[in-house]
Amino acid sequence: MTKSTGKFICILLLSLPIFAKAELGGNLTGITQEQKTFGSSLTSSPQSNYTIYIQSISPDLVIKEYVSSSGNIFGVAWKGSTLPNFQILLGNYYSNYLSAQQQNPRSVFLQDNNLVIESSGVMGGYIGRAFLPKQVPTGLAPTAIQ
Amino acid sequence: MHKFYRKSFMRIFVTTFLLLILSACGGGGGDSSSSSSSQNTTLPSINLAANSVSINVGAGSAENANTPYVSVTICKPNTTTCVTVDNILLDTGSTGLRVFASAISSLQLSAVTQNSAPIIECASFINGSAWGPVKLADVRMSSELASSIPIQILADPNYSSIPSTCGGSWGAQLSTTLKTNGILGVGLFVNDSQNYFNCVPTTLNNCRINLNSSLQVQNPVSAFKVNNNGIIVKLPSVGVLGESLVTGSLIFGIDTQSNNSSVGSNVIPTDSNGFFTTYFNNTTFTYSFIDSGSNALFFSSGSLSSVLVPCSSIAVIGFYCPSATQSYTASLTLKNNMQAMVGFSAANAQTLIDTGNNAFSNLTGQIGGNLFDWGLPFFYGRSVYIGITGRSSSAGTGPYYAYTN
Repeated sequence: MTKSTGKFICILLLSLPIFAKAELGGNLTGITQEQKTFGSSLTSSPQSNYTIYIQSISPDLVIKEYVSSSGNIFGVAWKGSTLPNFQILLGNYYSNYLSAQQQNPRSVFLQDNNLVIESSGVMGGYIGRAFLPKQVPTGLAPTAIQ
Repeated sequence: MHKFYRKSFMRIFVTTFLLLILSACGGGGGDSSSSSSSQNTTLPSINLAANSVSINVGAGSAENANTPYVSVTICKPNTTTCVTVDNILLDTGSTGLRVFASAISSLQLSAVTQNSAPIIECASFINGSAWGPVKLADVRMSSELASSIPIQILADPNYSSIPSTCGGSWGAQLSTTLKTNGILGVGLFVNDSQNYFNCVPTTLNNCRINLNSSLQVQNPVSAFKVNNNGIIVKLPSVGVLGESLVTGSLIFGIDTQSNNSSVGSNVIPTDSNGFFTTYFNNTTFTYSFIDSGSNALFFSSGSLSSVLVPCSSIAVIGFYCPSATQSYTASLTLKNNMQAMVGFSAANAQTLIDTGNNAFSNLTGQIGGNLFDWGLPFFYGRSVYIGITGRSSSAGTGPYYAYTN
């Protein structure tokens, strides 16, 4: 591959947001951009066949993103005094969040074979998670995504 | 309210508009006796101490089950230019006063600023975001005064374009579903720790600032002169089919006066996010909280899912509809890892709604994960104490909950 081809692919990737967004169902490529957007600090915690990327956002919000060995984000979890920006965090699944919210305003609760979203708590103590059950790697219990 | 966040029994949105119209008509201001609606005058009166105000469930929006209302007087700081706004949701699950702009349109409140830029807030509630400017007001309840504290204005016509980062045109704005004139957040915290901005963001990541906690929207109780370490919410018991109207009291301070002693109460310390542990149905609910702004007891039915079936009618979606009333016992974690047993019932939510009543002690509903939301049903027949973070009483230093039966 020539240098210019490499550049071309790089530009192509940047122009296709679906490849560049670090969000549920997206991949790791865009996590530094997401970090800038959130104004967060980022650490990672490698496990046997996946890695947890942990962002801390001032004053009190922690977001964990569960990334497969091939770089796909199959789960996210959050806890803090406020809610994360779901538009960014859930990406294409944000509309699922909104419709679940209308089903039960007290909590967001959606469970099917392809998508689980659980979000509740009160101001000062919010907690929740979202994951793609079919993409959770073997050996990781879905309940451990939190 | 969170809220909030808040589940209403019947979705009759007309009520929202009715309340807003009423409040818009009453905001004449001028003195603290002006009221945004006349509904309070029809309520049964109870003897109130100087450090308490009355709470009613059922006299506000009749379509909002288990919603506790109070009146709050809001004034231009250091003046007698005030408006008393009723139908304010009493919410132990959020922090700070939020009021619709239309309810206080006669008050010209000053903005909270940083480097002379007005501050705007995006506050998170489970059922929607709240976008609006932060302004300074004197907040009065009974003889208590929170002097010149930051409050949030909802549905402010000067900030009608809601940025994408706060929900935007996606909907899910709290102000469109809230059936009250505002929210009085008197929970475990002093300031609300939400997202603040010094301009209206045009992208998802600009204008957001780290705002000094003293400039954030404040729990009014924490700013009272003496009775500032917490509150007590006191509501009477209600019958198995509910009541149309329940009247109780909100008492300010814990162990500061003769009427707010915590002696003999069960004290539930929480973590810094306000969570404690409930054991129920062989399940550990690590993220439990007590919230007057939740209108039912919300928990995952787990192995009881064949009994605690979800209601089918849209009017009671999200609630449980068991074929017969179920009686349960849960265990709450107290100070020194002691446990307290708490009994509760789950009645058929459809049967309850069909009574036409407003206050129910046995309304339950579903929630995901290992959360247990002890909503308003927990408050009936009890005094529930909310100890503010960093403030002390004989019960301990906040954050903590406590209760007596």
